[in-house]
Amino acid sequence: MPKRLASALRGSVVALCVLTRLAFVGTPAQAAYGGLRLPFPPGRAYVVTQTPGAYQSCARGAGSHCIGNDVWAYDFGLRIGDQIAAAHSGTVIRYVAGFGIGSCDPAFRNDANYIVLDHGDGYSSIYWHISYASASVAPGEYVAQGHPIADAGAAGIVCGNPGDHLHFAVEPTPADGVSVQRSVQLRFDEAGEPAAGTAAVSANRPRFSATYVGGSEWVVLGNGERRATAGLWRNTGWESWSQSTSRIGTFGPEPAQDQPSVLTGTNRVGQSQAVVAPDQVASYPFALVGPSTPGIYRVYLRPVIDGITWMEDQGVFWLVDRR
Amino acid sequence: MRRFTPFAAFVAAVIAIAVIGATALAASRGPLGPTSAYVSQTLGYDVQLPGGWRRSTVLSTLVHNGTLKVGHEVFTIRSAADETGVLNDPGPGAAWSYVAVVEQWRDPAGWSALAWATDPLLAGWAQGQVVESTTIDGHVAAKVTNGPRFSVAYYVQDAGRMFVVGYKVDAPDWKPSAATDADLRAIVASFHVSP
Repeated sequence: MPKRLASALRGSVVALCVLTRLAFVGTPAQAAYGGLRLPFPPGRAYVVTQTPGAYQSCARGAGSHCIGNDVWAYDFGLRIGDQIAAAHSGTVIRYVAGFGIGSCDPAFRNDANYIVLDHGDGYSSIYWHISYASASVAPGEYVAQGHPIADAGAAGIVCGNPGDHLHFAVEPTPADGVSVQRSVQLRFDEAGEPAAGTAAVSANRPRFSATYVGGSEWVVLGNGERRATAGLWRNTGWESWSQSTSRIGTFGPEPAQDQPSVLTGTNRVGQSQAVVAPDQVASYPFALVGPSTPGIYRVYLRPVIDGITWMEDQGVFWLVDRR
Repeated sequence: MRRFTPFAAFVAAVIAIAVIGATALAASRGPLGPTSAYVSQTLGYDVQLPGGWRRSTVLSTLVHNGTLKVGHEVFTIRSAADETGVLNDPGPGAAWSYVAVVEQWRDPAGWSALAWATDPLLAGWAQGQVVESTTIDGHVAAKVTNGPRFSVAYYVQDAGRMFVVGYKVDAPDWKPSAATDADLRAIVASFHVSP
């Protein structure tokens, strides 16, 4: 073969290999997909053991995040039994949880346990390698951001001993619900695009959390005069609030914790709605009554799920100027 | 014209390499022959494989998966060399595309095929999957289309065992050029429980 032809062929082979790789590594999105929190409970931190951009190391034979649906995936160093939390709200559209073990052997590719949540905006998040029968969600269930998904595990293709970790990615939601898609570039609200070896602390939603919305008043009342009012708090946790346990309660400094207020005659005010889902606003209606003795009175109220936990104290109070 | 020449040469080279590559790929598979029987003594079934199809050694395993699963065998039209290549790049997802699979699970509780196929823990679940009662190899079976693990899968109950016979075409980017849906359907349709 003439030298020039051989050289041209070698050059073409290189070009073709480059083109082939480019076809599989996926194209960076215009902007990283956002609105995500780290996929584990708030306050916890796990080391990023593999990042997107691993295609740079894949060219050197290292890493596994090299191809379409894995290119923009993150691996987090969760151990078997560690809780995985929803990075984004969504509906469960795929659910496999019936496999016990994994291996680096490619024969285990189709034996991975995983959950997929459809965010409802054209994208889905995928949580791989969950433990056998550990899913905290049901097929078709809608869950809020922060809701437990499952326990981490090692089912599917996992390398190492036991190789347990969480493989997390965001992909376009396929029209048929199941076709393998290319993952997209993503960023977490509290950690951006974390680097390998770092361990950012999750600021994902807790089970119960409340943010004051409004309703506090400063009113002038006469002796025995009544004023209807209501406090409003947004549910910023992942669990819905039920009328049977959701309250605002006295917590000090005026009156002291769990003591009845002279303004309301009680230490608790109940939620008006039967159920308040995450991101909805709960209303706690009550009446202020002017005391018999003139003076300045306050009732500080803090949201509580009775029998479970107090939620954030944001120093919210109602003030009555009894003249 | 001078600016166009390198581009034209590049396109010609790419086309030439593609033709050479395709020829080499076809050659590595060998000529497509007639259907042949594959008999699995271990799992107790047989299937008919169209010409060019074979049992994949690297994707098949008889390791118990910590559950009721006994093992599985995978059938591919990729040559062993092609399969090894795609396992390295782009990865296992490509090797698992356009394959037929036979799994065997223990069924000590005597579940019906339909009950098994619709149990999310045993069979998994996908929104939009279609589950139908059907017959395969004379057995009452359940057919699941667009499930979470197979494009199409049949659940076949037989004497304390549950066979899952299916195929995967869920990643068209990685379709071997000679693979056809018809071949995959034919392999699954030929499934027969050995006496």
